Amino acid sequence: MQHTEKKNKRLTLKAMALIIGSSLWLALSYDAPILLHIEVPLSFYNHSNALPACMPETLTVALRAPRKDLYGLPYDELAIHIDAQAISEETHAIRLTKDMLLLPAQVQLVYPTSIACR
Amino acid sequence: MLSFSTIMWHILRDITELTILVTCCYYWLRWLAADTQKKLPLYFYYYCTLWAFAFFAPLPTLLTLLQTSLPWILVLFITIHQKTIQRNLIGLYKIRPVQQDVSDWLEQLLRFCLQTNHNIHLLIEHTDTLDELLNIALPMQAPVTFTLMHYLVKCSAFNPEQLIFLTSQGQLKGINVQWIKHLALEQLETDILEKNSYHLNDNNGIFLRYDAEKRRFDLVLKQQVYHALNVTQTLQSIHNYITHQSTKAKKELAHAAHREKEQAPHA
Repeated sequence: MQHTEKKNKRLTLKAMALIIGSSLWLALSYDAPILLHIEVPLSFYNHSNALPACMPETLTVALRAPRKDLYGLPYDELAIHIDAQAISEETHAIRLTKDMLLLPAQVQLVYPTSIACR
Repeated sequence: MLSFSTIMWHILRDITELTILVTCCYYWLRWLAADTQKKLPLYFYYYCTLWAFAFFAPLPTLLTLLQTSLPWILVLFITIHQKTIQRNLIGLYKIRPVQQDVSDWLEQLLRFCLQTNHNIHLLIEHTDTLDELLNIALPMQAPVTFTLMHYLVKCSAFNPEQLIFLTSQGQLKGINVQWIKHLALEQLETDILEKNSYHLNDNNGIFLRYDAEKRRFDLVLKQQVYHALNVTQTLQSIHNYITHQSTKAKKELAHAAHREKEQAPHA
């Protein structure tokens, strides 16, 4: 009888710990920024000729934002949009900004800051 | 699109964080539940509920207040926890020891006397202290019960020729008790009743002797000696004396307090 009571008490404590712990985690992580590494393709526009061969097809970028903003991103549509007219034969690197990824204001692009021609 | 490894890494990271938080919460709650005097887990649940309410309502001021007060709340829980209090030897309130009901101590004492084969000499201290006049070989502090007296008499250290000292509240104060030798009394030491009557002259103590052979009691009450009383008479006499003396003492105290009050404005 006493053993069952003790077991029930432990079980209640475990359940309460799960509820409180999860709630606490949710509350703390709700606005806390997290870092996400993602591989995104490069998309060129305004191009009439052949695309510059030195540019990679995809690039791994690191994004920082609160969990709710980061998990809500349309990852399938995410790409680095580069104006092909801005690239010439002498271009060694392109400065990468968050506007090129069409990211919402809450999401920050941490790195890379530029794309180098290989 | 997020890669499988990225998703897995994020899930694993979240699970790790969750596990650590839930484990910490569980051990914290378990520690709180170890306090048997207060319902600390319940108070903690109230605090968490208030926090959740403020978060989802949303009540930003209350939430800020709860967030800033969190360390203080935790410290408060730790401070008032039974184990911390026990370690620091302090109490939130005075914990009174369990009091054994000894209202029938006199009945138990007389019942014990009737069942023993020893002559018993009892000295009962009432409102006037007798400690200064006595030499207590074995001091004690225990409620008088039939069982205790039974074991005491069986004890090899017990000397039936000497006094058993107790109070009128039923507390045993010592055994093998003797009056401190008094020069003026040396010539008087002929009869034990006379001797005790002399000693009880200036106080309201009671002396009771049980004669195992006659199965009768001799009683000394305020210098008056009563011989060969039966149990009922003894019980009645002592009970009346104690009650009367207590009432008298209370009246005297009240009277003295009243007199002091009256004199105070004149001063």
